[in-house]
Amino acid sequence: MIEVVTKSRLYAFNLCQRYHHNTYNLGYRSLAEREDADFGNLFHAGLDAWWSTYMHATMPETADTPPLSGLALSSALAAMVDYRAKAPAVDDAAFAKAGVMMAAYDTRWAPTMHELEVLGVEVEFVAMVPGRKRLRVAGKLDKLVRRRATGSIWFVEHKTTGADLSAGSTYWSRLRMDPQVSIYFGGCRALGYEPEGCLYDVIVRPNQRPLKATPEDQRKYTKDGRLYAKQRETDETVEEFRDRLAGLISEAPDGYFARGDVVRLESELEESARDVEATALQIRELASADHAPRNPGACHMYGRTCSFFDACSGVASLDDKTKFRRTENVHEELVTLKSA
Amino acid sequence: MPAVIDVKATVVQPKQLQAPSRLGAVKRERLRAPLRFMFYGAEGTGKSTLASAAPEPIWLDADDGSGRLNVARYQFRDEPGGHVPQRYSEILSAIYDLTVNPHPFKTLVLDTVDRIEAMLWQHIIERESEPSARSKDGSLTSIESFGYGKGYVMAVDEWRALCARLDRLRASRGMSIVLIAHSIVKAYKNPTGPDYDRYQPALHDKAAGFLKGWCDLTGFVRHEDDAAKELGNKNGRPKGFSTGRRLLMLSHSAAFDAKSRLALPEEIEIEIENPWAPLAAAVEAGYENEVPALKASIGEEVKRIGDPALPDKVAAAVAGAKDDTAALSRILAKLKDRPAVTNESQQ
Repeated sequence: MIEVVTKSRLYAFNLCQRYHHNTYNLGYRSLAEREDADFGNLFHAGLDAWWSTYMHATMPETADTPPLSGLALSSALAAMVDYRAKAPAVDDAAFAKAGVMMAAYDTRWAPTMHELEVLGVEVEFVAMVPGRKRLRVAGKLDKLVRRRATGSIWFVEHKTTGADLSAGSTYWSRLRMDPQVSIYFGGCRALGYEPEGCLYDVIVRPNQRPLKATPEDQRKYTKDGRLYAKQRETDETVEEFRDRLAGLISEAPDGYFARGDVVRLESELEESARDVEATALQIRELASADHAPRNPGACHMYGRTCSFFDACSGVASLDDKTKFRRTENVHEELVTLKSA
Repeated sequence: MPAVIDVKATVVQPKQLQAPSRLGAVKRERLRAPLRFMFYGAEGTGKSTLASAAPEPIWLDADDGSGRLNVARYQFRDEPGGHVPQRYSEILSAIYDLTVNPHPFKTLVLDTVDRIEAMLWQHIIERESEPSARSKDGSLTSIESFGYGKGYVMAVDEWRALCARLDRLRASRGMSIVLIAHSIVKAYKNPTGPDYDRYQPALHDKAAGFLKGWCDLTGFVRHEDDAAKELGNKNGRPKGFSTGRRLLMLSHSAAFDAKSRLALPEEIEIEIENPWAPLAAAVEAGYENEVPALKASIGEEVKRIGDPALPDKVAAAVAGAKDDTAALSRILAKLKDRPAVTNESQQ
C-alpha cells in the first residue's frame, strides 16, 4: 500500500503526538486556531495574487522598464478584500495592517521582480521519498520561479515570523536542516524541475495594535492644559493606525522583509528521506496503539498556547462545538489530496 | 484561498524518437559518483602536483600558486593574469560555465580554498553592505563586523551554496572535485589529557569542519620526516632528516585531520613520475572492497546491538540488497541508529 504524508503532519507528530492524533486521526480543528490563521491566510491571499500578476504578465527583462507593481499591488489588495468577505474574524485593524504590509512588500520587492520568471503559484505535488518505494510526501510550493540570470529553478516559501532576521542570526542557520525545504526539493523534482534551492521570503508581522484612549482617571495634563505626550483622549482610528504602521515600516523596511537562499546537499536530502521514513513509521505504529501521549513541553510555544490545551488539560471537551469543529478532509490545505 | 494555478508548461515533453538507435552504445558497468577530495599541507609538499595528475584537470587558480605546473587554467578575464579570480562571483560564474557547457575536463581543482575563503568573506561583506541587505548598519569592514561569530555562521551558508553548485557540476558533468588548502598548526584542547598541537586546513574551524564532512576523502600531504641521534653519539641532540618521500595521509591521527569514506590504506606515497596513480589504484581497490567492507560493518553493528531477533532480519535485508552499495549503506545507517539491547530494554 502506498502511504502519503505531508510536511504539516510530520511536523505535528514531532511536536506532540496528541496534537497530531486530534488533528490528523480524529480530524478536529480548533475554531480559535482558524481565527488566528485568518490574518496569515489573508496576507497569503494577497501574496498569491501579487505573484500571479507577474506570472501571467510578460515581464520586462531589465530593471529599466516600468515594473508591474501597480497592477500587482491592486490585484493583491483586491484578493485581500475578497478573502475578508469570507473571514469575518479579520477586524478592521488587522485588515489595515495586512494592507500596509502588502504595500510595503510591493515597495521592497517589485524592483527586483525582473530578475525572476514566475512559473507557478500554489503548486501542489506528491513526490516519492527517494529509495522508499511505498512512501510519498505531499505538499504545496508557495511559488516556483526561474532566475533569469542563470536559468536556475528555485521554489519560494513565504514565512511570517517575529524572529530576528539580521545577518548571521539563528533564524537563517536553522534553515540548514529545515525539513520542509528538504521535502520540497523532492516536490520540485516530482513536478519535473531540478531546483537549485529555496528562496526563503520572510515577512516580519508587526505586533502593533491600534492605541486605546487613556482611561480618564489616569490622564495627566501639562500646565498649559495639554495631555501628556504618551496619553490619548480618543482611540486611534484605523486610518491613524495604518499611517503610523506605514511610517514605522518605511523607516526600516529591512527589519520587516528579508530573503535568503537555502540550498540542500545530496547527503542532506538522503538524511531528510530517512527522517520522513522514520516519522512515518512512528505514525503508523501509533495509529495501532490506543493512546497518543501528550507533550506538555509543546503546549506553549512561540508565544501561543496550543489550540487543544483546554481539551488536554480537562477544562474543555473535543465535542464542544463552540470550540472545535470536525473535518472530513484532514489535509484541508491540499486540493489534490483529499485524505492521507 | 485562490484556486490552484497550474505550473506554466515549461517542461519539455518527450518527442517522437527520431534519432538513430543508440542500442549499440549500451554499456554494462557499475556507476560511481565522482569523488570529492581535499588535500591540505604545508607549502611545497606536493598538493598541487598530486592534483595536476588527476584525470583531465582544470584549475581555478585562486591564489596564483600553480604557475610551474603545465595544467589547464580557467580564464576569468582576457588579460595577463586573467586566470586568477579577483572576486568570489567570478568563481561562481566559472562553476556555472563548467556545469552548463560541454567540455573535456574530468576534475575541477580549487586552489586554494583558504584563498577562496578570504574572497567569500569579502563577498558577504559587500553583499551585506548594500542598502537593501539584512545588516543593521553600514559599518562592515571585516567578517567579524557582524557580531560575535555571526560572520562565520553566514560564511558556512555560503560554503554550503558553493558545495551545492559543485555537487550539481559532479552530477551534470561527471567531474571529480579537488579542494587544495594550506595547513596551519593549531592547538588542540584535549579533553582527556594534555593539550597538543595538530595540523589543520588553514580555514576557519566551521568552514574546515563543513568541507571535511562534504568531501569523500580528506588527505594530509607531508614529507616523510623524522629525527635521530647520530650513530655512536648517544648523548647528542637528535637531528631532523627527510627521506625525500612525499606521503598522503588518509587516516585520522592526533597530529592531523584526515578521513576517507572508502576503505583506503592509512598512507599512500605520492610518486614523482605519476603522482595520482597510487591514489587512483587505492580508490579502485577501495571500491572493489566496498561491498565486503559494508557487510563486515553491518555484521559488527548487529553484534553491537545484541538483539537475538536481528541477525535473521538483517541477513534477509542484505540478501535483498544484492551487493548494491547504496542499499547496504542504508541498512548500515539504520543499524547505527539503533541502541544496543540492554537488560532494561529486554524486560
